[in-house]
Amino acid sequence: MKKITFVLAATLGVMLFTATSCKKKTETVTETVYVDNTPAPGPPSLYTRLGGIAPISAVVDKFITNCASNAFIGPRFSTTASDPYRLKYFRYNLIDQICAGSGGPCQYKGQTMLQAHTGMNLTNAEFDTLVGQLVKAMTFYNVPATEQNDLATILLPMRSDIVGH
Amino acid sequence: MKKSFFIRAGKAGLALAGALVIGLTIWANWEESTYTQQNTQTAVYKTYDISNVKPEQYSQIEKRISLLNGVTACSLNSTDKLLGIMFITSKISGAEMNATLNTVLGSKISEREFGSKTGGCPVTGVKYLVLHIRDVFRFRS
Repeated sequence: MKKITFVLAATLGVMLFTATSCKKKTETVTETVYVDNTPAPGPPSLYTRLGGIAPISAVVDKFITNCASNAFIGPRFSTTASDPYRLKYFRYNLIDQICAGSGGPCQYKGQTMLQAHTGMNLTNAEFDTLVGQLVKAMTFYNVPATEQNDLATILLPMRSDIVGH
Repeated sequence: MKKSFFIRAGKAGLALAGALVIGLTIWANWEESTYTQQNTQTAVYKTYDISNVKPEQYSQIEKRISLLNGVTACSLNSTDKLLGIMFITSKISGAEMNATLNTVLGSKISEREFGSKTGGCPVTGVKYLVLHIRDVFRFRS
């Protein structure tokens, strides 16, 4: 009985194989027409103008050290800066945020600004100091004024979600 | 009777532990690393006391230290006389950093403990514990 079942299964398999592999050959005549569908090049993204992930990482690192060593807002960063694990993900999130916001290939997966800052009761003075540290970091790495302004345009609207919650 | 119960309980416990390890491994490796994680290296941040460094050197310190191998950023607080440095530990260890700073700045530089930690990031330790567990079981680059 087993032998018969095996023979039947093998026969069915061979039939299926031949049915699917045998194709009728048909001749078709095609004419190839070349059309240039590439879109016209647009202006480079802010991500490209900033130089990519490496310069963004350098600016973010400088920004973090500026903030963490600042007398006014430094204590706000002590918990994160002193814990290598927290710092690792804080740094990744910052880089992702700027990279994604400037049109880069990253994806920000952290909390929203409102979620991340609720409970901290940050003031406008602290936010202004923070922005100042970012400008210092960009200036340290000679980021052109146009790119600094473009980045500020992306980040400054976050004030309402960061301050006073 | 008792012995067989303990043996069965032991086997069940082992099976449960095995399933947990497999489940955690699958969960930890489900998503690929982000673009940032693939293109940046992990760094640590430490603060150093520069009370022994002459103030005339302050203007050049940030640039000089930033150029050191493994250092990703350096910031100086001249008021509190502290230097904050972010560096990649796979390129330079904490002890090597201390020794390098002593040499470059020509003074005895010591690591300073972090000051007050007030009103910082409210993200709970639970979130970071979850990330830590994930990293333990993660082998995907």
